Amino acid sequence: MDLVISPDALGKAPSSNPSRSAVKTIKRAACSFVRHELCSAVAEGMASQLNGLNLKVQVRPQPLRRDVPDQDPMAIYINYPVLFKGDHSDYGVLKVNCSVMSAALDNVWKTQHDLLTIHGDDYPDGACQKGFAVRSVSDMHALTEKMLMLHEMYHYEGLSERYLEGNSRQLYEIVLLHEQLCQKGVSIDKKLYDALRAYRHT
Amino acid sequence: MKKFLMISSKQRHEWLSQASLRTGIAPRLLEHDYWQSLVLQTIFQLPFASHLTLKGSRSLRPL
Repeated sequence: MDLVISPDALGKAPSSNPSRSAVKTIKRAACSFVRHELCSAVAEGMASQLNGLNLKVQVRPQPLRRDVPDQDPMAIYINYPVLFKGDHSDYGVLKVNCSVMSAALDNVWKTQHDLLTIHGDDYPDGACQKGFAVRSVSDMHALTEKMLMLHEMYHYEGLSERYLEGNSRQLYEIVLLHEQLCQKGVSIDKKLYDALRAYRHT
Repeated sequence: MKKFLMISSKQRHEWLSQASLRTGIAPRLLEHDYWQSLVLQTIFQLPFASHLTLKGSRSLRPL
């Protein structure tokens, strides 16, 4: 899963047109925030959740290379005991990607929020209260949303080139998703496309 | 939500097996979803949760 950190959390004000050095500073601050604050807070929170259950998770930040101090995104790995097997000896891994660069821009921030609203007003609280409620949407759904989101972003006036560079991962994933769908022989779901497009234009 | 962790291994196995039959999703993936939900719950209960946004669509399913 991907988490975006608001610059507010880092003591930085969001800017509509940050300089390269400002972005670099924010990214570095975000890495430090994830490594030293978020990671330990998640570890403490999970320990509290599992208190008295004789279960432990391991929470660790992504190792950073010394020569890449402002790596983005920074990830948190959470190893959890696989309970289905019963012996608790096997561990599963959750990866939480954390980024901040795009959050430096107000309009992009709103777009990312918008991506979530389609899944219900009560997210994430509602989802968290219901076991097994979090689940990947279909590849076609993800592909369509990513395409529409990028398409809309290019319509923003004055959108920073740095932000567009930062979204190259979306383009990369669009191609991967497309290839997967082609391999499965899945055709374009026009009904889904129309529904998502109509939603995003209202 | 913690009830799933507090029941016996046998009961948990039954729950996951039944959910797997109902949804067609492998038990291991269902358990992964459970842990993901728990982590999300933990993250969004942190004092600075209002500064965090879950991004992307692939980790979400309409409820």
